[in-house]
Amino acid sequence: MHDAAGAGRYAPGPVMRRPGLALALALAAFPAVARAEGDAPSPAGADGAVVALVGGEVRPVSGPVLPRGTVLLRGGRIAAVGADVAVPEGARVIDCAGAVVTPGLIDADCALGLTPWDAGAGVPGADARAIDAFDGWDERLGTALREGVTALVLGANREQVLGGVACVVPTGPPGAAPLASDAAVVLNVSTRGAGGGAPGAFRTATIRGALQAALDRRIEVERWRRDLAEYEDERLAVEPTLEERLLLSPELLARMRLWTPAERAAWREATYKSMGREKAYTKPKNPATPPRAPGDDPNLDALRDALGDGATPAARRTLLRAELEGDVDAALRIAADFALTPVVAGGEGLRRRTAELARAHARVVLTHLGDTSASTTSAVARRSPGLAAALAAARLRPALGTGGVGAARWLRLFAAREIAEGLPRDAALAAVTLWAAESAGVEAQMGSLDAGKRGDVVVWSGDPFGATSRALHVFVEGAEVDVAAR
Amino acid sequence: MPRADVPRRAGRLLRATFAAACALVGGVPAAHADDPAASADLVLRLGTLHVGDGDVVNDALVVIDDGRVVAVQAGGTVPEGVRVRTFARAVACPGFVDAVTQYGLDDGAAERPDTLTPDVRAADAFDVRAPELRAALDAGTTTLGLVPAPWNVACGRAATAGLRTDGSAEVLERVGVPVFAFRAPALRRDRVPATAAGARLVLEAAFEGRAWTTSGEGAAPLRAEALAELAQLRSGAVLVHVDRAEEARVAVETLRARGLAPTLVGLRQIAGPDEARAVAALGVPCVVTELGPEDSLATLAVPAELRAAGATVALASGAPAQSPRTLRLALALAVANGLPAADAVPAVTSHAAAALGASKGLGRVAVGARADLLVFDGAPWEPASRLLLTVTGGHVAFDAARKDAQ
Repeated sequence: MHDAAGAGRYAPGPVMRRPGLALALALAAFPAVARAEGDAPSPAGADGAVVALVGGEVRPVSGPVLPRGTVLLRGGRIAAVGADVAVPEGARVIDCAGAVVTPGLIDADCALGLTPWDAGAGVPGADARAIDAFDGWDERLGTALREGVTALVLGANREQVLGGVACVVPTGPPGAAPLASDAAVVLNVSTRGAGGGAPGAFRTATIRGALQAALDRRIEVERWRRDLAEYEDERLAVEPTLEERLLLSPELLARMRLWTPAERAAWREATYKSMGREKAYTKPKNPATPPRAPGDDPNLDALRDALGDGATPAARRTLLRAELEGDVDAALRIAADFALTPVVAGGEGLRRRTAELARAHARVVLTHLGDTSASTTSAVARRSPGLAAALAAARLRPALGTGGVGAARWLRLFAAREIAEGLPRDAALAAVTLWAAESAGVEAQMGSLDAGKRGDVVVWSGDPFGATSRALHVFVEGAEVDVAAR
Repeated sequence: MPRADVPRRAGRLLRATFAAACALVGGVPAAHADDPAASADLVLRLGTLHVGDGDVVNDALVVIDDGRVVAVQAGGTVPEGVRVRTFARAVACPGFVDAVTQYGLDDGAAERPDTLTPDVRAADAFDVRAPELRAALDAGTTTLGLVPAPWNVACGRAATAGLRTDGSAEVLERVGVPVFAFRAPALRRDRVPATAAGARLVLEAAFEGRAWTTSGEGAAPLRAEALAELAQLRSGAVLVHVDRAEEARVAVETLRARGLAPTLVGLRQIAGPDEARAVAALGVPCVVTELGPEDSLATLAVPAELRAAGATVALASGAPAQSPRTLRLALALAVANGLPAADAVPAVTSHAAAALGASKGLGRVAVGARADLLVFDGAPWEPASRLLLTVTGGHVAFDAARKDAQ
């Protein structure tokens, strides 16, 4: 959050101690906050219109299936879900008899809408924020939306060990605000598959070094910020305070600027005494120059910012890509040593480390499902069937990610394939909704049909995992999307 | 198959048919039960059987002996003593035929530097123990068409391989249909227009036993083996790789003029229903290859559009770079993009087998056919359907019941 509101403006601490200025700063920062994290542009469903999806088989994911249930959408949110929900007068009623109602699907790891990194512009590292590379007007987002995929977790770059910052975005409407721009720090313990990239040990060492350097740098930067704040505080002490600006006439202020610091201090002391105040004013230490800022290192700074300051644990959610079991081991050690919240994205290695992953309370994402490569160097091609089923059986709540661009729209078919390989149907639905939301830390907003969550809902003509089924109605924030448009 | 084997096989077939017939009428012949080979026999009762050519038999009884289907019938009773595997609510279909693959083919052998390599034999380059074959079998594929890569105008001869239960393969037809390519990349090394018209120029000259010439340039050398192979080619089925509708038209005209019966392979760049109608109007079968999740919606709609225009459509994974699991995914994608469910099973069984010129014994559950059979807990084209039983060459390669028991 601080990167959106107070980004780059040093010394927030001491300034905040002045109530007036704090208010002014807050007011100035508010529009920026709203733009960064808010709901603009305003969704069509947020105008108070009520939609009632009546009589369908409701699969809320968070609770038991309702054979004939009602889902009520109001103000862009889910207002009620149940078997006996009263439909308010004036609501738009959609008869869902024979249809299946589910939450919008979430691809837990893909690249849809990401502008490819320009190789000529240098290698992206930790400073590669997926949200910066996201093109919300990419028309393929719309095709995914019409297949019932309402949100995507974009895992930034997969090529470098420091993979930047992942984000969560809606697939519509075009240009909609992100759902979470700092979903997770991405660390590629293994690069895509087993082929390419540096050897595992080298990558691990690089990640550890970078994390340590980022944490050290955090200490260094915090120290500098504090020194700078002290310097600013003292400098401000000889400048007119906000109080003085408000109290004194412009003429007096103008004159006051010509006073020497000693004259001003004397005047202040007299004034404050006359106002009957306890004087909090101390003589400035008067440092001659501001403290020197630490050197510029966008990569480390980005990693430092992404790791957060400890007050925001969600910012330490870390997506560790680890395909083989050795990678998973390394990822879990890194997470433990640096107190990160691990989300391990991978494949075959996850199956062989289910106990360790469970002990570490790790989230898992089964990724690259859309990969059809048969390359013998690709770990994806060497995965054996039934991975998701094995992870679900170990109670790891696996999320499914296509890892692709166009493949994201066929998320339900990849989930279907996991069903064919033994994943129970309810787990398959959870894997592309609630568990996917949990993997990105956005489960409070979406992933199940619960009152208060975003109105991202899909009405399917039949089984959502059927090749012959299709999305009849798709709602994003309570507003219906035209599924007929192609 | 060695010739000495045939009388023994024929005898076994007769005996097995008789045994099965007896079993159906009532009474189990003692000799049948004593025969150690009887353990390879299999009697299946299937809730729904897609025969492969579009027909559906409900409550089907299928008797398999010595690697062949010896009886298929609806209903019927089986006397006690005959072990019947019953899948009352399951849906069965022939084993999938992936008509265009290069699994097991060595990359170097599949690609030759000259334009006409009709004497290449895919079977010669095939590794019957290639690791991908196991994965193909796991995905329900029991028959592979081994088709030389489309980098030459005359690519060579395809082969047909059947998968064994151990994940290896046996070559069923060593010298299969001739394969051509009218795609631009097939011409990249030659001084002719890199278009289908260029391919026609090269091929028509070769059919007449001469090398093509361009103005002023000397003729490219043409190997005698290549010429001899093309000279004797005057009839029969062939495959031709094409991407676009125009390439399809030129290819079909050229090959038909020679008396050949082409099947189009590839067809990934058919732009919309109009072009699909133009291709269908050529009246030749179509095999759409390499459908994948990253394809545009236009490409994914090609099978449906060709089918709607009246063509017979098969699907194939198509390339060495595609995983063997892709065929089932391609089928699901084709259905999700409009291919009617009724056309789904033929697209990966009988139509695919027909492309390989092997329509009689493969891609169908019919008396006399190689016993390749899949049993699912749902429709074969649904990606969520779980495979319950895989029979390849008459033997059980996968049995979910046995796996679950473990």
